[in-house]
Amino acid sequence: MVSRPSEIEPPRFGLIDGNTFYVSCERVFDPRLRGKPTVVLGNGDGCCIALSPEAKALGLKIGVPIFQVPKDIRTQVQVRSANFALYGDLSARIVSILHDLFPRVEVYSIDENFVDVAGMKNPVGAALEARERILKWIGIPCCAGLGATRTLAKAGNKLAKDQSKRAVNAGALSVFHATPHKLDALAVEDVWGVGRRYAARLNAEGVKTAADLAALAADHVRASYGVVLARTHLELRGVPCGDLELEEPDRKQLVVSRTFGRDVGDPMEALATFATVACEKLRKRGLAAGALWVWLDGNPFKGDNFHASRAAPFPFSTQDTAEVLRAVRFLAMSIMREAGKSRGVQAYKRGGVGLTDLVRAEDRQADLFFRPNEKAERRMEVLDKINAKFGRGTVGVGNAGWHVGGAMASERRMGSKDAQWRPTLQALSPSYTTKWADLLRVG
Amino acid sequence: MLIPVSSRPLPTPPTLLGPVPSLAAPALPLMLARAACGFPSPAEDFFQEEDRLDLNERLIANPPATFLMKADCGGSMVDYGIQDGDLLVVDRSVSPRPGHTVVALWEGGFVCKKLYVRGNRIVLASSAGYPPIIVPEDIELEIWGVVRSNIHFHL
Repeated sequence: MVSRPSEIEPPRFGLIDGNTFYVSCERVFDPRLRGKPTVVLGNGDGCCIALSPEAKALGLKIGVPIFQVPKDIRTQVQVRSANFALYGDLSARIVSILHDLFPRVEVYSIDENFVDVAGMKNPVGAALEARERILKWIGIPCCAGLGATRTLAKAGNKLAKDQSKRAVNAGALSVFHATPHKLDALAVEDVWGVGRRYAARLNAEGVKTAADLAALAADHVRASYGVVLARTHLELRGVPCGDLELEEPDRKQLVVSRTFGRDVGDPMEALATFATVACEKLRKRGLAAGALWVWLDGNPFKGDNFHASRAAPFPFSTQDTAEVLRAVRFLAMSIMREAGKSRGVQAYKRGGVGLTDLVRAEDRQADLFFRPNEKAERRMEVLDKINAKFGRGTVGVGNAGWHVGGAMASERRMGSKDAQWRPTLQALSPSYTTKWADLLRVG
Repeated sequence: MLIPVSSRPLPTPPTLLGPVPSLAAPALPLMLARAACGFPSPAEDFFQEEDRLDLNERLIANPPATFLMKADCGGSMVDYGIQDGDLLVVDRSVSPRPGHTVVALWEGGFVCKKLYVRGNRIVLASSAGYPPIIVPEDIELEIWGVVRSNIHFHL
């Protein structure tokens, strides 16, 4: 029997997110960017990771490398390097405001937060209040979606974005309560959990909108698209299949990778730094790594498609940076030797370190031959404490070059050793909220 | 194996949310630990962890809405007690009213001024000798935030 979606389901979830969040963050402290086409570049100034509506109107797309944008368009655009210190601080302020207004908040990403509105008398009012506070207190415009399920809340958020985009002062238009009957305006590929592949297949079947998808028979969805889309389908009909995830589930792997500032011949120091950062994150989460992999890429934009990766298991799951660094060194040497044999001198543009087979540190079973190296792990504990107190990179192991954020344009001239592989951020805005030296000067 | 890279006078990043641990930590808690083997400290019964004075508490009324800025007004706010180099504690959640010291956006830049209304015109006032800005009626003035306090460093 097909269950009819209930008529007016009260919302249980809200999704509140910042509009073009990174651009909005830049505009809080740099009013000259307002109303002008603005892009934020990630990946060491490589690709556009955020676009203002004006930049989208010029035809720019997320993910496009900036140098591929025609020059006549590029000159009209304001460009900033991603300043995650700033975005992270403003994001934390938003979360803090939401905690004041809602009983539970799930931080879903740097700019998206799910909130619990179950049993609230006036959830639309609360969402509006949240929007007004975030706009006034922090300066970031937000939209909110409400719904009986997380998928509906997410759908409502998209619809709120679409309808408030046309308004000068979005106000009440920026909150949309999505019910199973108000999904006609949402394209099926914009439904949370419907990937591009599913969307193509659904379109072929004549399913164009979220409403069409919700109207499909449950058995049919399960049979031809599998259990994942069946959950999405149920959620669109107002049947919750998941609650807020208030705690991040344990990671299966931890990856740290960067594009280097220029092609480098010896990426060892960069890899050591990535490994050090990965190990710090690992210990912070109480995890230990069972295996490691390292990869290095050439510069594809110079026609060099070199890619090599090597992995190795640890004899016993480890938390010890020194042990990881020895393994990184071994694997990287092996890649470089191999590359050298076949290609002579190989230049590297990108590299990364991944820790995998992660387990909870306390769940590791010691056996006759292998057990945690307690001395080394206690040493790491001390190291983490020192770095937590005096700032990351105060003390480290071996040749890890430290300041991970990327080099400032001026540093390269100073010949700083690690400025070689750190991406050069040409247009990094000051860290107005997280560095004493960068505070905004008021005339 | 352990390489100290830098020793900074202040922890970075400075945090607005929550206490500033290394600044706000007086030596008092040590008394608790040491008192065990000798004469019991008479202070013990009167001291609790939350009795520490936290500067943030006095300076910051609404942490998520508070931003720190640096005064660089060329002396134009001295009459109002703000000197160049002072730290401005700017609260965006306060609704600006006449008499408030504000950070406003004027001609594309941030300025620190005293906010007044004369007649039906908004006036951004500075120290004597600096001409006030009289905001034309057809111009929308944006107040970025209200200055709650300024901190002057004598050392």
